[in-house]
Amino acid sequence: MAITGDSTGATDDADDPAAPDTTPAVARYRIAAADPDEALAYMAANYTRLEPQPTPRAGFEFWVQGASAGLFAIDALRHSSSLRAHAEPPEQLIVAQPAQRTQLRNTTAGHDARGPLVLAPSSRYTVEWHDATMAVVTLDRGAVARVGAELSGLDERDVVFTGTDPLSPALTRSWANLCAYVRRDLLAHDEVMSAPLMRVETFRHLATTLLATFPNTALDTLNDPTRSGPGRTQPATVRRAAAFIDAHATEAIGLTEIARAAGIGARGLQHAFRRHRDTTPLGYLRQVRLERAHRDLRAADPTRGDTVAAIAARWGFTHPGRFSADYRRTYGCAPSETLRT
Amino acid sequence: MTVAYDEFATADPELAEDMIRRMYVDQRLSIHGPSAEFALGQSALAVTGRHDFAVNRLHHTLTMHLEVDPLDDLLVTDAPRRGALQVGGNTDFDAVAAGPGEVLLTAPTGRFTAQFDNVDFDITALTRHEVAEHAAARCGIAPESLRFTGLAPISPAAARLWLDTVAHVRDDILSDPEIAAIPMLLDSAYQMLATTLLVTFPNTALDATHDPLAHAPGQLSDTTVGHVVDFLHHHAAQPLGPTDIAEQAHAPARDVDDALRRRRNTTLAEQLWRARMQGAYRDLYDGDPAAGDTVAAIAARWGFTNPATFAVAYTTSTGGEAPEDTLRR
Repeated sequence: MAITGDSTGATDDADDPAAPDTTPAVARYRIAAADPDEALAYMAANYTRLEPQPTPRAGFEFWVQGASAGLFAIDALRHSSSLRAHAEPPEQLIVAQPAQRTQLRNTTAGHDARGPLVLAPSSRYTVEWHDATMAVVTLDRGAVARVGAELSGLDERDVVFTGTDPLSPALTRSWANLCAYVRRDLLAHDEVMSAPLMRVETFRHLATTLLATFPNTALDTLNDPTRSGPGRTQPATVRRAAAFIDAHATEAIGLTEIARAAGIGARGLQHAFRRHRDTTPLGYLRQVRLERAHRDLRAADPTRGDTVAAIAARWGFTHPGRFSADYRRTYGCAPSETLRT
Repeated sequence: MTVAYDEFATADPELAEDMIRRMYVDQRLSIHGPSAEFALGQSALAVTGRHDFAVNRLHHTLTMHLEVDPLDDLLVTDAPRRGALQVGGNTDFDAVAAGPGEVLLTAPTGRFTAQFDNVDFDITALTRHEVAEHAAARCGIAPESLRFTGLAPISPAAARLWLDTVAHVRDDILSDPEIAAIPMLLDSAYQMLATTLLVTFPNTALDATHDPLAHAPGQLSDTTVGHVVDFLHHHAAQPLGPTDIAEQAHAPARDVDDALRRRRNTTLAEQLWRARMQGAYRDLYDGDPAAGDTVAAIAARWGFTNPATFAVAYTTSTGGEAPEDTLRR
């Protein structure tokens, strides 16, 4: 594999043994491979492990050009072939912004994310692309969770992303603008990035924008109208239970699992929920699932085969008539109307 | 947090002067310029709420001279896109000038004089107390110890960083109504701006993060250095020697001098000189020639025994105002 990393350090006193910190502030690299297996090896090491169907070697082109500042990296990636592969959930948070003509599809549990901006899922998924050119941003998952915890008052372990599509086209645009600013005006300049203060602030700005862009439990907590005041004023058991519900709403969970996650008995939890949130744990679970279904219906495209029944089933609503009635009560229209508009 | 957008344009010099007085300064403002072909325009983006800050653009065909007392709790930067601006020195800061592509911080302390010629420039305003709190959170200094020590950016790269960051905040966040409606993004924009201000213009918070010896044993704390500087300013009218300094710092005067040089890009001698100049300025300003106050007597009170040398140094440090002028005002 041809690797030309100039790894320009912002500290140019790397030869001075007395220099306190010789770690470069920004590592810049250009990696190229003519062999699909080498491309896979690179992607496994830096993004996630892919188990693809065979890729033809003839005329294959792969390169990555990017810059990393430790907690985050921004890459341009090109992979000239078609790829369909099972992917492991990546350790880092990865946001891909496919170029205009690139088709990218990440599939998890019946949900397709196709861009123009997608967050890599936190569970196993299938990735599919044809002749891809994309911008790829990777962020340290733990450090993003700490920023989310600070913003929402949740425990950092409870800050998890619950969706892979951006919440609005405006946010998609703002993410692209932010990445252009960071790449062009910050990462490209050693003197700027050599200030640790600036590296950390840039990461916080990226992490905050990511948390505002893709659905996650920190954002749910910030936006939750049933929350009584800031998150900290609720008992820890209620906060833990709500965070568990936010994070696992897509799974088959019930009162037993929620109570176990909250570290309290089922009756105690019912009582605490009633008192602090004016609902029950299962009522809250239902509300979260309804919100997610609503979000998916708005993002869905009936011309691509998305249906109300499939989206409802994804969120555990197996009885279409009852889902329709619940939906109408909350959103004032039929789910099919949301899907069509 | 909310963003208010305001646009203003006029070809009437009187309306223009009125707007400038209302929005920026209403003290000692003089405006000259051709009233034919006169034009002035401003677009302002003002954020209020958890953080207050503004990103404005102002252009006019005037020569404007202004002279104001310390800007109350504001940290303002001016970056010309066209034209030139000159900021006069005062007893705390040296005179600086900026042309297209450059940026200046307007003096946060001391009297501020400036001249703007036919400029189109970006004005950014943050509040001093919020930036001090931000510096405390990010750099571990005490909020009250934040002090800006120069009006020009620390390097051309720092100036460019400031301009790029202001453009990002203005164009990508504040100007996009859907994005500007999201409080956590406005908050993040503010923090990015505040940190960039701290890494762009020389200040005590930046020094604290740069100085690997700041917390080493035997080194003077920032509090001690700040205390000595305050002491100098309060006692500048008296003869002060190394023993007075050592007594205040509980350390040799030489160590204080080293710490000042490293962290604030200044020296004991310079601080003392500035403190005496400020004292002389205050007494001249408050003085009354009719009551018998003279330049020579006031200068001598502050340790300037040679009137000619004093007159030259004073005029340089005020950016062109002679001691007699101050006394007669």
